[in-house]
Amino acid sequence: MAATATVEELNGAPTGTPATVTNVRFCTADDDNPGASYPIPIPDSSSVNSYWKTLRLKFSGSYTQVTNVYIYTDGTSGFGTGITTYIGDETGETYEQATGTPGEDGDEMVTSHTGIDGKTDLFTYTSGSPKEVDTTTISGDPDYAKVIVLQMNVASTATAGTLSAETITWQYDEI
Amino acid sequence: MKSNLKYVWKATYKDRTEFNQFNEDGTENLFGDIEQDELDEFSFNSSLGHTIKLKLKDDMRLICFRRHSMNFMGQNDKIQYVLGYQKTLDGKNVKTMMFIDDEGNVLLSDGVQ
Repeated sequence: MAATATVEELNGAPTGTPATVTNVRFCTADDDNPGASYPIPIPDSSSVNSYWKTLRLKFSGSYTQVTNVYIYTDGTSGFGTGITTYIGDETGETYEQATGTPGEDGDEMVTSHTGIDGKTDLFTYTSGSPKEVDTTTISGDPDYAKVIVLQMNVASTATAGTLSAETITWQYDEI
Repeated sequence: MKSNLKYVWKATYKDRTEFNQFNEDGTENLFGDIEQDELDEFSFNSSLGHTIKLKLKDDMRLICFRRHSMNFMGQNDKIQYVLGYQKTLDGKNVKTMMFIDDEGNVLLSDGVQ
């Protein structure tokens, strides 16, 4: 069998409870499945953040090894004016629970996440220039790639409503 | 999983014995179980009916992997099959690699695409 890859979102304290996810909804709570609860409010001025999302690829099954895990987008955010999706510049093996004020604002990840020193607009990463996630050797059953941290920022110029989904692509090499 | 793969590998050793990715009973052998030092040829056999074969000399080290691209939720997995070799030339590690897509199109590259 080849490696089976699934996406996990980590939430809660202290080490994070993994949940297999088939979509990611940015919200103002530490919740992998908020439904319509905890939307990100559009502020009267400046901007607010979602709670950050901690995600990772899980590999399972019988395989030799996986390496060169990258992530990229189509280069164009369809979320519209005033909405920026960031990815933390650092990937790692350490989880840190998202914090903030539920229903209002998430703490900004560079300021509040001790493992994140910088962030970049996720949609600057494309197939020709993907974001490196993990180039170590992954070989266990199960085993995990390093975690990524995502966060959505919503400015006062954003338009209210549920956003259309965007597709983000994982890439990895398996032998 | 075999039915999902457009290319499966076969290793042919110097003594002409063969080691296939899949055994007759459908069980799979791992790439890591290939005796690299004994390799003479390595081939990708396509479900499209053709074979891509690499003849290995003693100074060539095999490169073989599958590059997966899947959407964020682990769906729509697309696979590129990569076959090539690396060798040390004038003290430098030189790679030659073929990136082969599901339809059999081949891109020859000197590095990771």
